[in-house]
Amino acid sequence: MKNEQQTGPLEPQDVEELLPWYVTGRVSREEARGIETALKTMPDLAGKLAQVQREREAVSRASEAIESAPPETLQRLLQQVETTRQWRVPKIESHGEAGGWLRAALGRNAVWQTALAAACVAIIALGVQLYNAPAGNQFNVAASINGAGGATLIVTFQPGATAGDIGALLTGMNARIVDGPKPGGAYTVELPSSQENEVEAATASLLARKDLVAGVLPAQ
Amino acid sequence: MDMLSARSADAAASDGQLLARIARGDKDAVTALYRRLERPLFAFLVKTLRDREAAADVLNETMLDVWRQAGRFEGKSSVATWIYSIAHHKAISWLRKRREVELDEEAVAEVADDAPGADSKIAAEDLAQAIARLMEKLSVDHRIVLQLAYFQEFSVGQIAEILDCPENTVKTRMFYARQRLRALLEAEGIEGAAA
Repeated sequence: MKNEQQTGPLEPQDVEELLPWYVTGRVSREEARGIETALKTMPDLAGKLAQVQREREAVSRASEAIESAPPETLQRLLQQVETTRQWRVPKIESHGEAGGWLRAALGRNAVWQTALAAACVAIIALGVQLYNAPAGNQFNVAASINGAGGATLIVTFQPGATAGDIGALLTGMNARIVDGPKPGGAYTVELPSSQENEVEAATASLLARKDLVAGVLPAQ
Repeated sequence: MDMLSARSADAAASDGQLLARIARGDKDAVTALYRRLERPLFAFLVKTLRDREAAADVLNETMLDVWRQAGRFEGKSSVATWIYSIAHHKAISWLRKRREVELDEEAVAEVADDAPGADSKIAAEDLAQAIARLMEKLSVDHRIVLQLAYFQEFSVGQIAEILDCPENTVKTRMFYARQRLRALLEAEGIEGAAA
């Protein structure tokens, strides 16, 4: 989110910038009050507001004049829905029910339950190993545990890929989803390392799984 | 529940409730959400792409993505904002395939060259019609921000989410979009262009 709090009285430039949202009623009460005060003290502002209202009216009228989409668009969509699988990758975080997706996943079948349990054991074992590592490796240990040092990739999975397949693939690579889905269905995947050769190897491994992975890009 | 009652229930359901039903595989909810969003979303896509056929294709792809991804909606933004962000992303991808984004400014310049000069004043033309016509000559970023703010009535914050950019960028784009629109009106000698 890119929220920027407006504090104190509005500057003349801020007032002008907000006029397009003032005419649609999409400013905060505080901003509306600031604009209304400015309208009393800035003589040329009323003319600018009238110009914004004319623009808005023109844009609305032109948009309203656009006819509906062809009826076959809905028919085509419903036909595609019949043959298109829904993506079932669990959410990154659950609102109000921490771990809900995990419980749901565990309850689905014994194979997945076993795989997840094995992954947990592997993670704990790795943690113990890292904890006991020599002092020289302490920086890497911290980076791995905190997930702060690993490179990130933007990964798009195949529509038919299941949560179990994706989970197994990422667990096998010691990688994890840290964000997503973005528009288009891409996820940000964090790798355990930011070493160039390891990132390249991980990218190649992902791309090799064409049955699960549709595309991989380095994160910005 | 009979068909009429089901339609009334769909009409009364919030976007979030419809999306939750879609996530559970309810195809009637897809139809209900499509019918609710189709007009404004299609208008947004037509104005962005300037191509009705492409707009219908992108609308279809957007709603198909809503079907696929409904279970992943995290509620961090409103349903409408989420769906418009998908539509925007797909529209920009379509434009990139057509290389229209890169060529947009050139196209604008070419169109502007063909516009009537100050001598051929069209003060009699309805100002609203002129603004709507000249909006077509704006760059895609400028068309989008005007459309989202004026017609779709999204707030600065919602537009920032849809476009995945900072709020200040939204305000700056709006400022330059309006400035460019005024310049085009003045270039045509249309009265009432200047505030």
